[in-house]
Amino acid sequence: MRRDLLDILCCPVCKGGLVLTVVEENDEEILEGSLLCEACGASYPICAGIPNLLPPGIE
Amino acid sequence: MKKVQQHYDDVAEIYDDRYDRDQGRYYHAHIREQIASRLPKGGFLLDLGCGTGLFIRQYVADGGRAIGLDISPKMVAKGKERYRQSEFVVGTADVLPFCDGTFDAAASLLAFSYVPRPAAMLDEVYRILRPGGSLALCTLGHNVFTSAVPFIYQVGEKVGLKKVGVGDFDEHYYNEAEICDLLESAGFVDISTKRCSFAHLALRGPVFKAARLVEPFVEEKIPYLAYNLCASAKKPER
Repeated sequence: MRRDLLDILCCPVCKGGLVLTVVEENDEEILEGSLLCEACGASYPICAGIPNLLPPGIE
Repeated sequence: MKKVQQHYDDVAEIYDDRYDRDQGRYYHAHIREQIASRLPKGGFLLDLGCGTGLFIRQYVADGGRAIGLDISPKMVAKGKERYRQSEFVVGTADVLPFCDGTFDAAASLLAFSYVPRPAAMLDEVYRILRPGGSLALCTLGHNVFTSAVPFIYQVGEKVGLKKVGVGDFDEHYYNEAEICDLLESAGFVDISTKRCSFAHLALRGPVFKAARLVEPFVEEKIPYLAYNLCASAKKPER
């Protein structure tokens, strides 16, 4: 995912803002990392450039 | 939804063989045209249940920007591999991970029938659309042909048939009144529906050709025989 995608993403469960942690990125986008909800503490992985924002329990 | 997710992960590799080749390509393109004609061109679109990104390809080619969301990680991986300029997200349509008022348009092709909480999905779509934004969806419609389909799929599963879109997923076949009620309850306005699809990709070649010829007539004059249902609506300006 590109960094600017973060501007429109929110936590699917509580709609809180997400904090990005990058593990690996290239010139274009973030390849591996995670998105942490500041409000409810839920964490969502980014794998192979795709964020997985399924609510916890459904993934 | 776990079963739907598993199914589409299993068929991600062969999905486009069904919907982007031969009869399937015509069938899917016809639905895409119906949806595209109900949405503003050149806007920012969310495709709910985007699969391998077939509608995203079209919307972007027509000058728009698009994000695809699907419950199947393998389907969105296929989409991302092909359409690098668009973003793809794994998620479920009834709990959306996007901020309020983000999109000009929302589309959903052949996915709504599988959503277990359709009212929740429409509430969420309403939330992520900007005021005046448009939604267009195409779902399985209830008619004389489709009423037998769940039974056929149950039998298919029992005999181990593994094909794209074939399985008993508790899918719901909608009629016009149901879909209008759902859209109205979510707050949408300018609601309209239209039956589409008579030439089914599973028909044998000559029968498919004949069905394709009469398809516009069926959709217009005997819509009850068309088995998909398109619906479109708007979020009020204020």
